[in-house]
Amino acid sequence: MFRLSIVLLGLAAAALAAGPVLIDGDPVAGQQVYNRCIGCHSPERDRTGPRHCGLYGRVAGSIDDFDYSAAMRESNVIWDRVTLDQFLKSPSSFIPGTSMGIAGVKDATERSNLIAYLEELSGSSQYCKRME
Amino acid sequence: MEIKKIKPLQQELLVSTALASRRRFISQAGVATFSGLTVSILGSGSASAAMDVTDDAVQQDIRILNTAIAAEHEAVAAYQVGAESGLLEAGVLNVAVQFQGHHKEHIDALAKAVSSLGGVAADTKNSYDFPVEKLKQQSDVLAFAAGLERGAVSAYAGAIPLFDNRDLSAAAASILADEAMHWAVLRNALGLDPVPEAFFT
Repeated sequence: MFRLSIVLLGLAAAALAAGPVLIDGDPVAGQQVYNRCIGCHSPERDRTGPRHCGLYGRVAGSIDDFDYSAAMRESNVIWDRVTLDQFLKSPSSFIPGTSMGIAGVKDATERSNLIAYLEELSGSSQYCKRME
Repeated sequence: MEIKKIKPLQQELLVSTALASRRRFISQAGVATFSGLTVSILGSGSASAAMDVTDDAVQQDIRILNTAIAAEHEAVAAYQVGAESGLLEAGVLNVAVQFQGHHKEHIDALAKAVSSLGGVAADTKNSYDFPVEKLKQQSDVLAFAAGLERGAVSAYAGAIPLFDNRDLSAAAASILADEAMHWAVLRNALGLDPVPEAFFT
């Protein structure tokens, strides 16, 4: 019993060390969450914030001609599930100095769903392909 | 008539809040002494909160205000596109121009707040990339405007918790309420339920 407890503790410690476990989100639900972003963003157009088609896998601050904050341009972040999760949870904590002046998406499930939608915009999205 | 009374007060709140915030920052930096004037403007609650104000906090407030200004500039430009589209009936056009005027007033107030904090207000872009090819009839213009207003409500709702200066949060909430009214009116004009839910998500 004691050995089992040690093993379980070890597994828990390893899991914590590996960082947050990100579940697969639902892109359809994520599109609903995305309604909160449309004040500044659009999938296909640069607005107050940059466009989101192609975001997933993109280097942060890398769209030509978009007027990013210095903090974003110099962040050396590549957008993936982990970085998007951290950024969307609290943008100004993850990239201090970002122009994205919102508190963040605090619910982990909503973030996963939103990330799934953003991922879709960068992959199989026919909508984004039509806009290219 | 009531609107005329409220608007100057709202602008005064934004500017006086920003001025007070800047005074607090200067005081923290040792450039000037913290004056009783700040207390009289903001009240004792805000004055006690000043103990935590830092340069970073002021800069963050400026960034949030400028992001809001950029979005407001976009809204003004969008309403201009709608107004010049030739698709709006006279009565609808009047309302659109009125809403555009509100956004211009938001910009004026927010820009003065930024200046008072020692920042430079975001300027309008040379051009905006709007989906004009989709605007074929009046309802298209109304739906486009409604989407922008809905987005503005979301943006202010997301920004309000982030202001270091809580009085700026209160002022932003006032603007949010105005955007929400625009959104509801536009939804109603589109034949949609103007207030579809008890909570905004």
